[in-house]
Amino acid sequence: MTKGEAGAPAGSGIGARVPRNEDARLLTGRAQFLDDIRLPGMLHVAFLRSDAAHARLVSVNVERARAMPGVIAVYTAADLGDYWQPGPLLVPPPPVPGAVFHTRTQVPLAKEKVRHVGEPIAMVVAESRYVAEDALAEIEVDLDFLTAVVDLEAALELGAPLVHEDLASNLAAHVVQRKGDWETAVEGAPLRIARRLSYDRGAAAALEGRGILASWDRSTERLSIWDTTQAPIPIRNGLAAMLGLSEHQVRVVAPFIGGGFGPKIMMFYPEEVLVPWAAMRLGRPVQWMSDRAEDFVSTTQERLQIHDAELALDGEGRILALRDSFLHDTGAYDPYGLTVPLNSQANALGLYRVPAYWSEFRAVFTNKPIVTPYRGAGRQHGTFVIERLLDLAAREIGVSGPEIRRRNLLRPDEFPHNHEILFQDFTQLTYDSGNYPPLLDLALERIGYESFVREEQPRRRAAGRPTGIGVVAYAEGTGIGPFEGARVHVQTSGKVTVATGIGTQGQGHFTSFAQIVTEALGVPIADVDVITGDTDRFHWGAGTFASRGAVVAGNAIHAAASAVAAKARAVAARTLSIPESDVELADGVARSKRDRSRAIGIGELAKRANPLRGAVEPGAEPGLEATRYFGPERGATAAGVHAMILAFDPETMSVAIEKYVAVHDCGRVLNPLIVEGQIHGGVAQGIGNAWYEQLVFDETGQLKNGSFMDFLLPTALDVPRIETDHRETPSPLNPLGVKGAGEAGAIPVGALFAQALENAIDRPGFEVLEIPLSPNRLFELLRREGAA
Amino acid sequence: MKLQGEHLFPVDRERLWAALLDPTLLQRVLPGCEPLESTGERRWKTAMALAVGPVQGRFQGNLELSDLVAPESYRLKLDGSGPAGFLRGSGTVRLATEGSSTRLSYEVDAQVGGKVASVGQRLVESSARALARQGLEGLEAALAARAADSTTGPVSIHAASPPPSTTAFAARFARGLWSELPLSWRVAIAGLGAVLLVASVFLLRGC
Repeated sequence: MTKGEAGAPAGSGIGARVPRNEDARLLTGRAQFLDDIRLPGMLHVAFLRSDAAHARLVSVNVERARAMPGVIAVYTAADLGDYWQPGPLLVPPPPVPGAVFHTRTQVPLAKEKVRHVGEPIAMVVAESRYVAEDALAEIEVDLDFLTAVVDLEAALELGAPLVHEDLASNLAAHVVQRKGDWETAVEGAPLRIARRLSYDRGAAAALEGRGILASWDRSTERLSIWDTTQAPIPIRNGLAAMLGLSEHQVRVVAPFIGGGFGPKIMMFYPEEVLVPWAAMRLGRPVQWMSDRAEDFVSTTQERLQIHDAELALDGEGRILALRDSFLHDTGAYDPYGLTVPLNSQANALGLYRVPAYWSEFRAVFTNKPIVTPYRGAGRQHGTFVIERLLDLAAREIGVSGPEIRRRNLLRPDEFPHNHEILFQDFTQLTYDSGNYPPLLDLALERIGYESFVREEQPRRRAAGRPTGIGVVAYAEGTGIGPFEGARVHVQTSGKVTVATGIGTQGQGHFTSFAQIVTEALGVPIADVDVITGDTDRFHWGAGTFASRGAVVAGNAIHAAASAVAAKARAVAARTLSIPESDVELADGVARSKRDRSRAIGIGELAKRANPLRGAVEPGAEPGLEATRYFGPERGATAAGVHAMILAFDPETMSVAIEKYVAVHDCGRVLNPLIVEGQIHGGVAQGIGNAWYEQLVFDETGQLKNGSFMDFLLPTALDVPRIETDHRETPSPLNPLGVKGAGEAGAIPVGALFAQALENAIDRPGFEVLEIPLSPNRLFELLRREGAA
Repeated sequence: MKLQGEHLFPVDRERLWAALLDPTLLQRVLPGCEPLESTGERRWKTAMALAVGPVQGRFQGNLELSDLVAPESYRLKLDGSGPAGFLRGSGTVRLATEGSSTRLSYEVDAQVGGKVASVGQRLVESSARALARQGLEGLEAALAARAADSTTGPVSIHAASPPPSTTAFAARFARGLWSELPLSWRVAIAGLGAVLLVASVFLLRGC
């Protein structure tokens, strides 16, 4: 455990395994989620969504629905007037020379065309959800069906039907990034491995769907919004502008949220834009909560990409150059810019020295739900590309998987390492710090690589139980800007509140943020009250995404708490008549280090810092309170090595993960328990991504498995006990030295699963080049390979 | 989704042809179908209650016949939509004489969308086949009833036909599944059934 800066009570400062403060509330059902909120006179909403993937909207007749008892209002695009506007572009295109980007953002209600199944066409507001749903059946929609754009390659062919007819093609973006010169680098390369690799779509499938509740108070002229968003402040600012209100007239609260994973970022989903508008128009609170079926087609998804990649190596398996050209499915609209494919470009460089890199992608509009970041956010794809190509190269030159990685890992003396391409935060992709070889060594040791390969694996093969091993390395760009802020306030009771702008979706913010404050102020962790996701409590910031909460908000809290600690020391020094250098903050008091009996409670100090008579010192701010901001110059790069032992049953094509090891370096660990939890959850989602979860669309753009009967999630039986280990290479980019950990677990699993499965099946020529897989798909691949 | 099938009717081609163009008879044989309302030459609109696995709902739709070559073939186009989604299809119906009987064969290219597709996908094809089979058997029964009736005038059926009974539907559905099973499975299931039967007989005798 890291020793506390101040005298944090034992076991609750930075680095301590503190059980989560919020769990009692969450596990006993007391925590407030959106659908727990009931306001007097609250109305309910149901949306009529397109059943067609691509069609011209000829007419919408809502008269019969409007006439139904209990129906308060029915809106179509025509009823929105000037409020009908395409949503904002949330992330602009990267400043890469020659980059092409066509902005086409989602609209509140479809007007002339529907572009994906699930796109809202009409909104019904009624006294109850039952009535609202019944009214949907009374709406007559006349659709003129168009050929759907589904296949990425066909979408770019000349004469393909167009998702956006004002564009010349379905190309949404084209970006080329390069480092060094591929042509020169590959000249005379003894080994070149070229493959087509693909990664298909999945749903984040958060336990709680999306929802929003808005209430307009005519007397105070304030709009209160509860929203399952990861980014309440951008939502407040955007909605205030759309609705013509001052930002301070709008309060957005992100209550407890049952999983965000990216799709609940500041999307300005149609529902998010329409419900507050309707609440103001109708003068009554209006609520909408998605059901599972609509979540499958209306919440953003990830991750179809098709890569044509080539790796050039020297005779010892050292990387000379990498070249990758890929198609990225952005769905019907592209409001989140190019974050996902940019992450893919970055992650294809792995933890390795890649002297030359040429990477090109085309983002493609299709008649499918919108693609935006979902845990990993394109990093999986890049990792899949480089790790798979390295595996194939290792086979070719006859070295082990770990060995070819060892030969290419960046050495500790190579940091900071500039990869010379642009990252998703538009800074140069530069790894700030790291020490990779020990991660690999530790993972090999923990999985028992040598003895497994030498003894266990041959024994199992002989016994007819093929079992494979995989070892994969990955990078995670985390903690990007722009900034977050925090206000720390010591009350006269001695209790401390810390408010920050980001939302919380289960990350343990109430605990790890409290630990940072405890560390700085020496107060018991039970006295620290963390407030997140309420724009009335803190109104500057971006949100919880890109593994940035602990890095960016964490450092802002650290800065604010340190400022309060300095104030407290000054007041204590004056009060106790001792030098400031002699003051320590511990056990909820300020005291003399030399004479602990000279002490004053931190609540008492707060009182003295806010005098009721007399005056504060000239130039001083009253109260033990401080607000500070933190913005990193660029993101901090975390890293890890995961290893897996996978048993394969050739009879049933089923698999069982027998052992899973995750070795991880996210810089300084605030709370190992929480980091482990993040890794466990990420790995579980990665396992789902590798073997269970795939959104299947037919050639007309219909989702074929839009329920949990057919879209399989891994259960507790499918996710093994995950062994974790940490290495700490503090980031020089922030005072706490932390790197993000939120997405880490999910990133390497596809590549790892593919490697372990290939190793288990162990047939010359059999290669796993796609994820997700399933028993069916594997059977097909093996049969095809057998027939070839 | 391609649907095809056939059915042998013990009537001559002309009679079957006439029946196939008779809206009252058509309504009678479409399970859960309300009366067909003419909207033009060989065009009708109607509503139908359908259940595909967990997805149930009422579909409003249109049926259109074209390219009539009496008494051999016609093309049909149908589309329907409702809260549970939509279905659209077009295809050909052909009649061929076989002795004193007539073989009807159909080929329809169908699309489904919405909840029917996303939730009912696994059952859509089997359900569609079961419905078609049920409809064709219903038509055969209606023809037989008409033949039994001494007056040859149109059968007067005004009430909407009831939705198919669950047991009737399930029986046809199971029959469809059975016919799709590989032979080895059928043998295995039959074998298992026989073993269970024998075992239960022994057990009962032991009591």
